[in-house]
Amino acid sequence: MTLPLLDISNVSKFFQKNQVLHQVSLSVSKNEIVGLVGPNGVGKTTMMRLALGTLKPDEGVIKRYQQTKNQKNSSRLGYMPELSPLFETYKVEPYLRLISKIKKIPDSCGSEEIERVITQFDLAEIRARKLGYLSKGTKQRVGLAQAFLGAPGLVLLDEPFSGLDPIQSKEIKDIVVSASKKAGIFLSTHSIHDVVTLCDRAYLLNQSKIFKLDIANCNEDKLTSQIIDLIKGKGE
Amino acid sequence: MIKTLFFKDINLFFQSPMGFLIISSYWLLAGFFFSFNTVFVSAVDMVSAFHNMCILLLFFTPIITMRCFSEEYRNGTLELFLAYGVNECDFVAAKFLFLTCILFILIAGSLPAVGILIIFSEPDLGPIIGGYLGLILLGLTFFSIGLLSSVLSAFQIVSAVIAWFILLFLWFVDYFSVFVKGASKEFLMSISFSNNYIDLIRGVFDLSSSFYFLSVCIFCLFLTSKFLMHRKYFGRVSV
Repeated sequence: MTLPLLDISNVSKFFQKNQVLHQVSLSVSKNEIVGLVGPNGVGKTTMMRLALGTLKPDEGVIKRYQQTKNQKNSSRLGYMPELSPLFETYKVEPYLRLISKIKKIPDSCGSEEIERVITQFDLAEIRARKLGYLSKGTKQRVGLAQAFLGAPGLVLLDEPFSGLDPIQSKEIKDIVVSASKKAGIFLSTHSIHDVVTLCDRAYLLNQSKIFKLDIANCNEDKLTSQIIDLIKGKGE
Repeated sequence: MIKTLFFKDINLFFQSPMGFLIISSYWLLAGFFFSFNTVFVSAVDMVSAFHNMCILLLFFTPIITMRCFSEEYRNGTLELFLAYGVNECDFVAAKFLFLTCILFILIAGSLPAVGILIIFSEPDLGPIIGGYLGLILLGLTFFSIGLLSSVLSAFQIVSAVIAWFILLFLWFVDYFSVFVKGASKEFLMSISFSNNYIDLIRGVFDLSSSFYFLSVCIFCLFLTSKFLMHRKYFGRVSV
């Protein structure tokens, strides 16, 4: 039996007296895309940060790919927050080189990896451009490229398709699907379409609780009704 | 990892015109005060130059340090790097190393003044070297306070105001000694920057002052690391 890459078990999180998450559990395994939907401000980003380890849970346990304290393999993790984390004065290629060093990708395969993501995310023409001068969609592509640098085993994407035009969005979704053959992907999104077309499993986060969505043989309308029912039913 | 983060900060500082502007402004002002004192006040020594450089550092520190962590918060790069396994202490160490490097560049701008003194007079180099060491110690203390202020807020201007407040408070805190007596008076005098730095810039090695500045510096760096770690539990910066 293969262990999940990300295992969140009975996690609760409070910000002062406000409970953001209550006894939340979910897992992400290899070769699957797990989606997280929910209204604005419900705690999706908090969930992402907990999954990353940059935020500590008040209750519960989070395990990432059997990671122990002494075995932090940062290149096996990819993360893209809602707004691409970029240095405006850096150029595309040096930025990817910096991330490669931060991810501790060995120098021997670092350049090769950078070339791979530059080609994969169609960044060749802008590799010498400053990040501050790029459009929002292009910045998003650079942000995704850094997340996929080093062929990570687990990728966390916080609303990754916002700001992309339909063609770019289609291309990036294809890349995410292709990457899921070798990795586990956990993404938060507002798009029901993305959940139906991309995800193998999906969860709804509402009023600090998590609900598993039934997305098998489900179209967008059915899923929307299911989400609205859950939000109204639990919200009242 | 510290090396990678250090070069990232150096690159960021010199990739924007702000870095050059800050350094050239500091050099220009330090040079002006030295020339003014030499030509018009006839103070042909480095003590008055060191004094003016300290005052300039007091005002330049928040401008240099305010973006250290505030910008990382706003860019989301701090979160990203921590997610990729960068240690909080490495982050603080790299920032402090970067600031130390900037301090050396700022102070190096005054070396032509020493050259002029050597050419036109016969200065005693011992106190000058001692004065430089004192200035470096004072500068590192200022920068560590600036770094701590930067970690407290995602807004650069808020970080700068906090840094100015702490620095000016610690500079003028001895003024309050007129209101108290005994041990309180002595305490206020002993923690005042303006009271402690004089001997250092004269090149006189004062153990208690050196120890005080070093302690403030280490304490601020420790607090900065603790504050970064504290974010893991509370999720956001507090100001």
